[in-house]
Amino acid sequence: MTDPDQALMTALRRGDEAAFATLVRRWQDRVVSLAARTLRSAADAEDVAQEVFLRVYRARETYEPTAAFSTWIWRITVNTSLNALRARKARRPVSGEMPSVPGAGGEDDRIDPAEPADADDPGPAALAEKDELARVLRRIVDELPERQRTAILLNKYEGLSYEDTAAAMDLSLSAAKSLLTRARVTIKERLEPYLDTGALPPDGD
Amino acid sequence: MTCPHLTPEDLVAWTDGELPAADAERVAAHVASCPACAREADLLRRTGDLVAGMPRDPAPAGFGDRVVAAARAESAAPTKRAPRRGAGRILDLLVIRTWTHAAAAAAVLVVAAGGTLWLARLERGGGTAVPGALTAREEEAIAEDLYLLANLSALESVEAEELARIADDLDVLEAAADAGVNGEGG
Repeated sequence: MTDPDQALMTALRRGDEAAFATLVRRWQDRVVSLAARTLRSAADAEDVAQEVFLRVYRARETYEPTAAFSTWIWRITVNTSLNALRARKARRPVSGEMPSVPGAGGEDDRIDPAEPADADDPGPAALAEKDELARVLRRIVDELPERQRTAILLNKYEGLSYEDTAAAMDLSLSAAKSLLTRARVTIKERLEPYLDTGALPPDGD
Repeated sequence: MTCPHLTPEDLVAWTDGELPAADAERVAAHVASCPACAREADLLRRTGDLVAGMPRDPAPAGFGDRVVAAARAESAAPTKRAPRRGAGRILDLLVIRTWTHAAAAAAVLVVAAGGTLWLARLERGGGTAVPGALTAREEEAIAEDLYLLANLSALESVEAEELARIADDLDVLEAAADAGVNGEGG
């Protein structure tokens, strides 16, 4: 078994500080990306990502390579991001109406109110360019409830399997599947009008 | 989802290649004969691809260096364990002192209500109430502590020096209680 990240953790445990710098370099873009999309804030994402790596560093003497390093650091990233999100919500109480998502329902389908997305959505007819589609997609993802958003980002954006997504979120496989299905169906339903206008190029078949 | 033959979970998992072989065959067979599900599967697959292709937010310039510097600063600092902060630390202190007094078969019952301080009584194991003898300075220090204790959530922001001072004040309380218990405070 040759997990290069575990090897780096082992080296760090022995006192090789350069191994930590290598770990940071290997993981910083992935951790910052997930934190930024979970928190919907680049500035908050940098703070969270720094905290994630400091937690990795602090665990250097007790780290046991029992699970994949990737599962471990994703779990730290998810926990730190969701904690930061909750702390931010506590500091900034919600006011005003929240946007709604078609097909939403149930406790976990509440729209995340911390930061309503911008309201200048031009509608399908005005969508002429691909970056407009990207902006709409981003808004739809931003408006997902936080656990659905985290799950779909781990699975699709970061490319984790269902099983690894469940492990990173400390959920059962069936709970992760359920979150992923709801997230995916919601995004599909909200994106469908844009897809049907032909704004999205067909994917090659 | 419009088709009663497939659950949304099955269809999504199928487009993701996450179904066991037998289930995947069943879904594939259905999709091949059901235009509605075929369209649905296509939309779900394209949706997944779009999320996968969302732009990245790479780490800002200098991020790695800042993290490494922060880690180094941490490990260069004295290696003593970080003390529990705020309310947790105060609770630790109270637990220690409660047990100390239990050992002496004495209890200090202090009630703080609405900013009014009542040193209710210093009671010996035998049940004889002994009035406490506290100086004005001691009462003041205790009142301050009780106010803080009544507002534990505010203690989350208390710094280490402040905690040390509170700990000292708790020592004053403890000493006063001992004095009362030993009958020396008359």
